[in-house]
Amino acid sequence: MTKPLLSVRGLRKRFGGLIATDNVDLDVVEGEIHALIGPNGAGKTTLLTQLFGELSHDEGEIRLEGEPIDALATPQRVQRGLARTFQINQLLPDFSMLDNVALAVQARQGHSFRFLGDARRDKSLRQRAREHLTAAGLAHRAEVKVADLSHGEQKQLEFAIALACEPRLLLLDEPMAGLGHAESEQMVAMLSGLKGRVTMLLVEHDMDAVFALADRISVLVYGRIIATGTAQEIRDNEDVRTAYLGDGDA
Amino acid sequence: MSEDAITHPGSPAPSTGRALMRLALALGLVALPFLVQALGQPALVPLATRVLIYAIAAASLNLALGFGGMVSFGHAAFFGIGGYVVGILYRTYVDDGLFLGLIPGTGQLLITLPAAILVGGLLALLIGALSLRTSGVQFIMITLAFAQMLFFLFVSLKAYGGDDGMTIRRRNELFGLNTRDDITFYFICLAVAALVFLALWRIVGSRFGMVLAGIRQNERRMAAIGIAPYRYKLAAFVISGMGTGLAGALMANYLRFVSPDMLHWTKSGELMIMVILGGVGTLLGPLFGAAALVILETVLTSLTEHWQLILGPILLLVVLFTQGGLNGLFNRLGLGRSER
Amino acid sequence: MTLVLEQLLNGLQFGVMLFLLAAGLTLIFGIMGVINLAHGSLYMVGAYAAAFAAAQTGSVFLAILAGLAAAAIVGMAMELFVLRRLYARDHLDQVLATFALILIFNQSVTLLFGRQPLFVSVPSVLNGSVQLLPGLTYPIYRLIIIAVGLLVALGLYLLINRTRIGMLVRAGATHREMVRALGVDIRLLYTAVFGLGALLAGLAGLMAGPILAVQVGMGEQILIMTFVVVVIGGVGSIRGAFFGALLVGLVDTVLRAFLPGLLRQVMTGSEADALGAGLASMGIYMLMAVVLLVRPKGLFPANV
Repeated sequence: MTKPLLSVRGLRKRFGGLIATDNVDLDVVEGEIHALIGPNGAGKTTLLTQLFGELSHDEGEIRLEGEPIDALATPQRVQRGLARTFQINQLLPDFSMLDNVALAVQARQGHSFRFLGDARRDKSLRQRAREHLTAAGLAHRAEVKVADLSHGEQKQLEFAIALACEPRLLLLDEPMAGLGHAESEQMVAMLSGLKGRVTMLLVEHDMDAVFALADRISVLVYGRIIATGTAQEIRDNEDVRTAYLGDGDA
Repeated sequence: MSEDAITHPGSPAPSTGRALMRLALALGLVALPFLVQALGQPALVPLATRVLIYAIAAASLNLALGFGGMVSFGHAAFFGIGGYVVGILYRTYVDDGLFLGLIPGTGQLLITLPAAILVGGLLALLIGALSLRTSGVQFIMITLAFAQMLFFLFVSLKAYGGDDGMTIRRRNELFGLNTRDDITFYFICLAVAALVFLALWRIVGSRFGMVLAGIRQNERRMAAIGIAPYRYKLAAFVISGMGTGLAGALMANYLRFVSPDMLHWTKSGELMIMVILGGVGTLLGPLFGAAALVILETVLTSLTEHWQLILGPILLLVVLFTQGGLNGLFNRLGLGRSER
Repeated sequence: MTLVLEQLLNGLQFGVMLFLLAAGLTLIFGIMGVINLAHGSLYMVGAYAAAFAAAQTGSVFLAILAGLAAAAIVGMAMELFVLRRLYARDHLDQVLATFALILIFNQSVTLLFGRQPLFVSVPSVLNGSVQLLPGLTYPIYRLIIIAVGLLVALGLYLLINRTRIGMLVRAGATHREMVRALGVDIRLLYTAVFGLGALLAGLAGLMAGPILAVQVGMGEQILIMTFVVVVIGGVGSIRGAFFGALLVGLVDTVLRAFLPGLLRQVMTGSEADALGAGLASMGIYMLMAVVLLVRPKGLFPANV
């Protein structure tokens, strides 16, 4: 098998007496959509946060394209090719959609110690940003301030910004959360369209979306991965059934 | 590009209205000395000069505070050090000695001003590098503490006046102009102020300015797109220190005097008051805020020695009940676009 | 040797005074998230009220009562009319609003009592010194201050660590939003915390009267040092406030006592004194800088 894009070995994290991440091994192969599911409180978001570098892990190793990234802070990990969407939107509220995406484009172009020139008239930024917005179906709302957007639009913007980072691996934290039926379908369609072109690690509760999109699924319970496999394998897995139906949610 | 471009992007028209306002302001400032002469109030020229100098300081503070979101309570340090650069260089010049055995003194504005900018920037680099490792309440307290430390240092330096300060008998020279003349010095300060505001305008609209505004709004999001906030905040802090130092140098020239009072924490407070009175995070706000506070102080001190008892409640009411200070007020009165 | 011991005791005494102020301040920062520059004004109010009562009635008991009551009342008014509106505001607004309060308080006190410092004598019953060691006598009054301070520290420790309300305080200092989400009556908690802070500040003020100058501006001088204590100790941490205060108190006192003398060895008298005093004043800020380099969150942060 080819070397995985993301390789996690023996990841551990505890908060005092609580073990949030319990010896997690995980591989994400290039081009796949790898879903991470599990009951509430299983530690999915905590795992993503550690992969992204916002939280430091106690033990274990994280490799991106074979290179260890454990010592890197979040901005450096992003420069290496990671990107993330947040469950609770992290946007720039006073800026417009276009501004938000343009900043991601700007970051991609290198350092920002440029004090001359009008950033809002910089074609290399604005044009590229518009392209990203168009791809996300948001171009018609480009100039609207984030604070004035609907929840669904904000979620879509989160996604557009993450794509503007041109990531090798995209970490998605419940991108469907809070979306209505139509918006969910839109999001699924968009993710589906990126299949094979962008590698994704997708944390989601929406099982329809998960089974529609995921190439492989890993199940996280109480911080431990109890199963990894294709959709069918996971559906048939005894332990998974028990975790979801038998013992109930954490 | 609009003045509040950072907060209210791509907004439509009345920019002609705004441009006219600004033209009027610029013309007014240039014509001011002649207008007040005609009105028989020549003392207003030094007053206007003070306003301009404080406007430079407040605008520089505003870069870090309003645009960068860094609530620095220690900017008096940079203001004061700028003043002392002028004072020490002048004293060294008059004594015909060498500062620290290396640096000759000077009475030339073209040297003292850049020197003040440099020293202000270096001090900001030092203080900022340490302070920006923290945030929130801690950052405020630390900047306050470092400024106070500098205050104590200069109080203890008897060689440079200590508590009593140093007089600077002659203002720095510039191309043989008579800097002692109120009107000449006013125009020098006006020119410097124009340059500073122009520079800040460019910085705020640049890529750097975008990043700074982004950091102010959501640091986590900035990290998530690959931007490490610390270095940009530090850069903004340093630029801010440079501008404030420049203002301090002008003030020392204006007063022909420098003392630790310029370093006192209440001076930091005054600068912050100017920023909030004028409207945080706007380009011209600091000018209005400086004008408001200087004029207010001048008027109130002539009324009573307990003028702070009037200023206090005014400030309290402004903070508690107005959004966007004077700039916001102007906007609401239809003289411009509405603020965030 | 006895000189060193005496200065160490002075440092300890200054330290506990700083602790009384820092404890309240750090809780207010940590739990309420509010930066209150007017905390020093409560200290000043306590000092002035006690001094006034002592001058009018000659009774120590009434002076103490007056100091505490004044601080508590002014504190409550401050919270009710101003601070309440600031909880949701950003730090800049808080700084400026409370700065405005300082202006108001300072000028009001000047109006009432004038600019001259008030002279307060040590209560006669507590006057005099006691011999601690052969060759070392120390003023009883200062020993009382140390005792009171340590008692308060003990009391706070028990309160924070052994009671339910203490648990809420600790929780609030570590995670403010969570406490609110748990349905705790946050307003009551805030008022209680603020009230406690005000009382402690008033206590420090009234005790300070006989040994420091009771004058306008006394609040701000000690407030900035209190900030240094809170930064060094860690925001939201009583333990940090305690050890930070003792550290700062000792370092400051020892530097002031011995640095000018040391400098006299290498320079002329008056220059040495001035420079020594200046460098000594800078000492605690350098200490703060060093601590920040190594531990940006302070020595005993409430939430690591």
